[in-house]
Amino acid sequence: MMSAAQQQAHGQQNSQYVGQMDGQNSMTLDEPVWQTVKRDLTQVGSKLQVVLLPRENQGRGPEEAERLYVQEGEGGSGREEGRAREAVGREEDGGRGNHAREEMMTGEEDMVFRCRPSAPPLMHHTHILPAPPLRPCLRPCLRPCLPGDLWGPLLVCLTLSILLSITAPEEQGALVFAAVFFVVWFGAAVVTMNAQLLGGTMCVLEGGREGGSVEGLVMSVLACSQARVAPASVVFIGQVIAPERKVLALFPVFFFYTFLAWLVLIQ
Amino acid sequence: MASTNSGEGDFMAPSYTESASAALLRDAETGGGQMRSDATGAGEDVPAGGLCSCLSIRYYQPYFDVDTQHVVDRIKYALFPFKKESTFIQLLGPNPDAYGPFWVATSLIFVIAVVSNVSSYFQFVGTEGSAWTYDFAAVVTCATTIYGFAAIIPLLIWAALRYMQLPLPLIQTVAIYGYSLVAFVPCTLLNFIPAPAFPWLSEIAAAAASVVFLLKALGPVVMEKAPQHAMPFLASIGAVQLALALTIKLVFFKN
Repeated sequence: MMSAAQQQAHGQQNSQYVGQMDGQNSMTLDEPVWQTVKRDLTQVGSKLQVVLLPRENQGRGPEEAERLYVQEGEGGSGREEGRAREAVGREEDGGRGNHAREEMMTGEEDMVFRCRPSAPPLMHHTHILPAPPLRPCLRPCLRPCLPGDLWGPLLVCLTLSILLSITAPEEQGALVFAAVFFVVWFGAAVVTMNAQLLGGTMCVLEGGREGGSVEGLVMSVLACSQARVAPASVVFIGQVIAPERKVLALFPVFFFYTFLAWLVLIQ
Repeated sequence: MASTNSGEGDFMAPSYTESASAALLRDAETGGGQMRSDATGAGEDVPAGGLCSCLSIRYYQPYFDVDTQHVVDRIKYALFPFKKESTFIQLLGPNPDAYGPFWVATSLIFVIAVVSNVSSYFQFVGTEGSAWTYDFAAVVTCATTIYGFAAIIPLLIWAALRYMQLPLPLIQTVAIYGYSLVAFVPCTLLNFIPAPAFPWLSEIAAAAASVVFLLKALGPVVMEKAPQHAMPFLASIGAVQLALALTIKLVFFKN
């Protein structure tokens, strides 16, 4: 995959967005459609897996969790976002030889790293800063960090809206569809903005996470069983928010899920 | 009392013997809600929106500069405003927040929507061929109403205070009014009890509690600085809260 890294560098100069899998943007025009679709579906599936089976440091050791905090403390002032993202993608893997590991990167940390104005990787791990001066993204992060990662949430959102509007009372079907769709997207945006305002560092890509978590609700709708609130968001938010504000950032998430669960249960 | 619940190191807690209005104005000056973004945002990152800095997250960050404990303390104060030695404005200190008002209002909307559907379910008298259906339009109406109250009333309070020459920052009135809505949440939660008089009682109780809180927060200042306007002002605040309670009862808990 050496050419992919070179293509990535080339592609990064041309566009602000860095594909998640090395130079994807410049390659998708050349490859068969089914391959692109298959890759996107695989990514959606792997993120879903991460979200439905979350662990604190899934796929990584505890030092990675430290790195999330300490890197934040180093700050990312004045770095161009795209270059920083690419730097994270390459440097943290120790060069080009580790793309297999990048493929194994879980959805959570992957998104966190991409969204974060990063520092160069640390040569040694010291200690977790007690109250890291978390910075918001350098630019207003109301645009997604990575294109293509929103297919999953879109599918989930549409599924949920359609399911709920089908089972809604006659004259309110359209209203329910619109409201659920709006609530899911707007809710994800609000949760993200809330976390940013409280000093966290995540981008709208959080919507991808929420979308995946909502998938848990959708599956329970299909199975007509008790709705399950995915704890993935708890893990994720715990990593980007200062500990004394964690509950404040988590309350909207909990609220959002409760609302959706209520909509599901009320059928 | 020297210490406040917020526990912030840089907050100078005035002694309570100081006149309320002087304390209020000094609190306002120490940055309770002044636009800090003009200090932080000017030389830094120009948002993609360009000229209008109010489109950036950074502009609003000072209004969310609270920890969990601060919010908990403020909510506790709003629910039990009796026998407290400090005023709510002193508790807010140098950082009144918009987090509390927004999420209290949102929670209230959710509680009203859920409980009104639940109570209509309990009171549904089934006839042949009909089943209970939930009313989703109520959620939309509820959101409009509550957010409208939470946004417009602080504006009116702020305008009235300016008229009385009490320049309280807008964020402080937003915070005060937002936290006064906390009393409605637990009271509305009890409304699913299917006794016909119960919603009346609970909403009136909620209105009473929130009026007590508002009077305690705003009353001393207004009485001291502009006593001729105090009575109409405080009476209209009471009327507004009562109107909110009646609206909730009559629109969402019709049975």
